[in-house]
Amino acid sequence: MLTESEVTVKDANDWPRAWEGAEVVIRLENVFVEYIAPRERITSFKEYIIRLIQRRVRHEEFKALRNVNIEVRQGEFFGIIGRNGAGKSTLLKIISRVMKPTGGRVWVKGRVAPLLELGAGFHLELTGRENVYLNGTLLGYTHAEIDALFESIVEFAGLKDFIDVPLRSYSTGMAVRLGFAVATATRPDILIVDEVLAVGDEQFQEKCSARMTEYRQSGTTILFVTHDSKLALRLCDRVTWLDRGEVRLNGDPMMVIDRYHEAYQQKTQTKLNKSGSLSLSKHSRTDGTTEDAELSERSEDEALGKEWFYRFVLPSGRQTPCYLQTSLAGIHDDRLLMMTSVLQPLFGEDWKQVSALDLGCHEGFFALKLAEKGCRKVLGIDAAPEKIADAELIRRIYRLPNLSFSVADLLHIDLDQFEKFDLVLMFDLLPSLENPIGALRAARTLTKQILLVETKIAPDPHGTGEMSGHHSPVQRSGSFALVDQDEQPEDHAGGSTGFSLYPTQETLIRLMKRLGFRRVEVVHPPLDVNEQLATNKRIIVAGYV
Amino acid sequence: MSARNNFVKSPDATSDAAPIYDSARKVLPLIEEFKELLRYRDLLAQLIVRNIKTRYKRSVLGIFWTMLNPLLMMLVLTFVFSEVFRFSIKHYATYALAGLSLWNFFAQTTSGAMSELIWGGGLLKRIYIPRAIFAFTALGTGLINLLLSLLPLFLIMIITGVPLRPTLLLLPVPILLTAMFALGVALFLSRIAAYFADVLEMYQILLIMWMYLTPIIYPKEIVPERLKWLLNLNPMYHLIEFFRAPLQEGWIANPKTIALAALISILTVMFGWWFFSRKADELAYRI
Repeated sequence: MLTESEVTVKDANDWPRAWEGAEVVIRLENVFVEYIAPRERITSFKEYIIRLIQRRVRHEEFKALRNVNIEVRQGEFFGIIGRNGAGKSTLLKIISRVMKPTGGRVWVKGRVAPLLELGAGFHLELTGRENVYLNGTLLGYTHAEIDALFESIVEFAGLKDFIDVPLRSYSTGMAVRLGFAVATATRPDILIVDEVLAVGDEQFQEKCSARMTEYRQSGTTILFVTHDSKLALRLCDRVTWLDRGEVRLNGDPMMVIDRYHEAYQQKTQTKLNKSGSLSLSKHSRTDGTTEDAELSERSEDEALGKEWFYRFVLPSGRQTPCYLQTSLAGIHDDRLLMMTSVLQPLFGEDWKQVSALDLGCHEGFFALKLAEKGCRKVLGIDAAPEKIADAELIRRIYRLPNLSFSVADLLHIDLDQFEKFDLVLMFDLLPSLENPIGALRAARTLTKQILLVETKIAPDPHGTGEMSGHHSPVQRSGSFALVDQDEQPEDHAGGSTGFSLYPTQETLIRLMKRLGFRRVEVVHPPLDVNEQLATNKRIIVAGYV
Repeated sequence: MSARNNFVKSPDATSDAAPIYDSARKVLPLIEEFKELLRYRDLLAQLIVRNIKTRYKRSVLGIFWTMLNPLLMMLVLTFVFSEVFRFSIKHYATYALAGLSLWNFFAQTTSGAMSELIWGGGLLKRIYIPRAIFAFTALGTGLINLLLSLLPLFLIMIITGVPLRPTLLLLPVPILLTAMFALGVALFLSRIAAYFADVLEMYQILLIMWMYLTPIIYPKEIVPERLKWLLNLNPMYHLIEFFRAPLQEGWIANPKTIALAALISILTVMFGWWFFSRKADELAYRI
């Protein structure tokens, strides 16, 4: 820990820059946000009354911000850095008027556009057009103003052909594009940006930055909250470092960020010394102690230091580096969306009862998503120990008690001994296995309710033909295509042969029916999804037991 | 072009006319909330339209469903009560349908306000919108449904030969009073529902009991004399009597009923507004 004498708190006002003469647009004077709330969240009235009678309602004081003084001048790109729980989002909330300070004064001049909640209040049953009006009025526009802006919003989002389609058939990317277009339809005086804007594909991201640059040049002040100090250094004119609700340092980005790093390097160092070489054991306890929190923080730094196949948004809000191109990375979101579209109607609000198994879990992305939904139990298995090591790292970061991973090969586990699961995922595993039919049979044995298989597929060669051993031509309805893995570098998980086996759609469906699934359905992709999913080179099939 | 956000509307976005938000400005929460609602009236309209649209979008009968539903209900009730129980109420169909329409309006508005707030709770945490907007959305939605249900009511009156008297022009008064009463109750419940999710469930049960304790589908005359005091304590009884008098008999309700209905409604809405707005700022971190 740093002592007070090591860091002198610099006043916001004494940093000279070009915009020094510009007028102040945001002024926080001795701002406090402290409130008292029950320690445990009690959501039921009955429970509250019972606890009240038993005198078991304990309250706790939250000190989100303490004596914060900040001035931001017009046209500044103002960064706010700090760790989790440092009060960054509370700071944004009192500026955008979502919360009121409990002490001190907040003074803001101009229209504030919060870019942190794209598409707030979007309604899936309504069309894109209706949602533009709903979202626009939520952000404070009048109906008449939206009338005037409507064309340009749709144009910017690039959704002209889909604007009268219900939002439920939009992909995540489309919805976010629409959200961004509405939120930035007019130039705001103050723009609040939370973390990096990863909106849609690269082309759209360029459009977004172009628009933000344009607004900035015309005098918009930008408040930028981030964990990424490199980005803050690159973009910001001035940076404030928040630590446990207080301003630690304020001023030149280089200076503030240097100090920020120093402080945390020291902290990590002492932590390491204390615990020696803490083993990264699979069975690290997850009971929410401070030690675990520290472990989680450190694991996060570890995760950020390497490249991933999936893009994880870590609890702190930072995203893991991803080695896929941006255009390709969207496929994970679309797979997730399709998965949810099948599972939500099935399990609805009752995820607590569901046990799930992720076969070939890779970095544990989908297992994590299921655990976050609140499944009773989620197990991810993968034959590759290095993948399970990655998944374990993710598990340590999120500290979910219902999530576990283990190294296991689907084709070599003892099916009689192995637990059965309500939900089984088999994403992108089938082609890389040498015995796809055996694998499907094993997956069927492990499934109690539903199996979701996602795989690349081969085109269907229909027709009949002579085959040896048959006296008459046989109806051939399905096949596997043999593909050299060198030509498909994404099939990295491959077996020893170096080949991938792609079934045709018909093969897969027939196989699954034969293996005893009551109902087998192809999951329809939403509009505008990843090209592989949209063109049916890759499909998701749901088998119901 | 300037969009108004959380701030005072300004004709142009240039420096000195820019809207200013100052947390230290002392305004009564009661008045503040009302001013913000006025500013966000287009959002209110949008939310009401959304409710109406999503309700009817996927049903074949669409908006006619609102009208068909009470008609069918009324047919069953008429059969049960005038044929099976043999109540002798003049124009029973009108009597029951009028009472049901107003009761539904009250029930929908009050429970709707809570579910709207639960739906919109996430929004309140993320962007600024007037907190009372959800109660008003429920009220607006309820009002539109009530007006739609008046059409089948008039149809029944014409078919069953109930005379349409000029006293019908008084109908907006009891509707307004019921709206005020419902809003007061809705605001009161909303603040509690923001803390406890099960309040809505408990209220639904209470509503059913309340409905059967109110002479809506049965005549008030069958309530025994020793229980009459219970009726007098029931605000919905007075409001429904006030509403029903011009429809069923072409009368104006007696002055005592009108005075009680007005007094209760005004007091309730004032109390609800005060109760809700004094802690409105806390809702953002309670939901």
